[in-house]
Amino acid sequence: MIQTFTLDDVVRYVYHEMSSQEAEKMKEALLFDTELMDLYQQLRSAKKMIECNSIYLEPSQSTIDKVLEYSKEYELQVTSQ
Amino acid sequence: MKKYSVSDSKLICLYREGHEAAFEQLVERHKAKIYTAIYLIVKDDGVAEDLLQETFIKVVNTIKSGRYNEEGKFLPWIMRIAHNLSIDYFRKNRRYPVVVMEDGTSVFNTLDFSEDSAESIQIKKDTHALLRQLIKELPEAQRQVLTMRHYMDMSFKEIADATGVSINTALGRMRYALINLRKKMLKHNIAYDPNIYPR
Repeated sequence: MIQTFTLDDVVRYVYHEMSSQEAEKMKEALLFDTELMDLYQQLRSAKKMIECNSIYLEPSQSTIDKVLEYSKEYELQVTSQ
Repeated sequence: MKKYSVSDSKLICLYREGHEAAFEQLVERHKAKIYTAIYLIVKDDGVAEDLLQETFIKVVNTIKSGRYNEEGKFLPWIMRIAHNLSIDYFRKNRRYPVVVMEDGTSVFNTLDFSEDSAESIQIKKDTHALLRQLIKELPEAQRQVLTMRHYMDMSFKEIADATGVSINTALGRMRYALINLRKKMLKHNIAYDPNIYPR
């Protein structure tokens, strides 16, 4: 018997947040449910596009230096207060 | 999600014992991810720098004063701090910030583009900047979930907990975010080449 899945289950499947058993059943369901399959293809393609084009921005070194300095001087600040 | 030889919790233990180098490593490990997430919310690099600094200061204060709860994971915890500070920033300013156009020059210095032509480097930069712009145009609730999942590596359960909604709501928002973003990306001809980026 084919398990019924919701549209939100497809999101979990695309992001690998399903147990392997559940994922196997989802694979099967996708073959027989065109609505699910259509959504799966859209979500997967969007996810890939983000992954392939995403990049992390780097903060400036001066900001990081200030943070590290704050940490080093933490005890001094606390004891002087 | 990246796996490191020394876990975050080990680094926190070392940091508590007074090893500043452990904190330095934590900062180095997560700074770009947190900064990008903040930037995508506040849309201004100067503000994002300030909020990143404030985020790490809260981390230092919490860990050094012995108030850090080891039960949770470090990254979702610090991401929640960053997220709350970003939202507070909006509330205080009571306005949506001006969208900043990016030239990308200073922020791509961590990438190795050495084998690319100048033209392809520029195309990549433009595409990355455009993608960030399109993400910023999404409705807030959708942008929040997408940012937390893609830029903060948070699971849907963690996102639901952090934003105070059910998992189904978080999943639904993600579904709409992806569908909307895909439409926008196709309109701007952003795509991926499966030959370059195999499954």
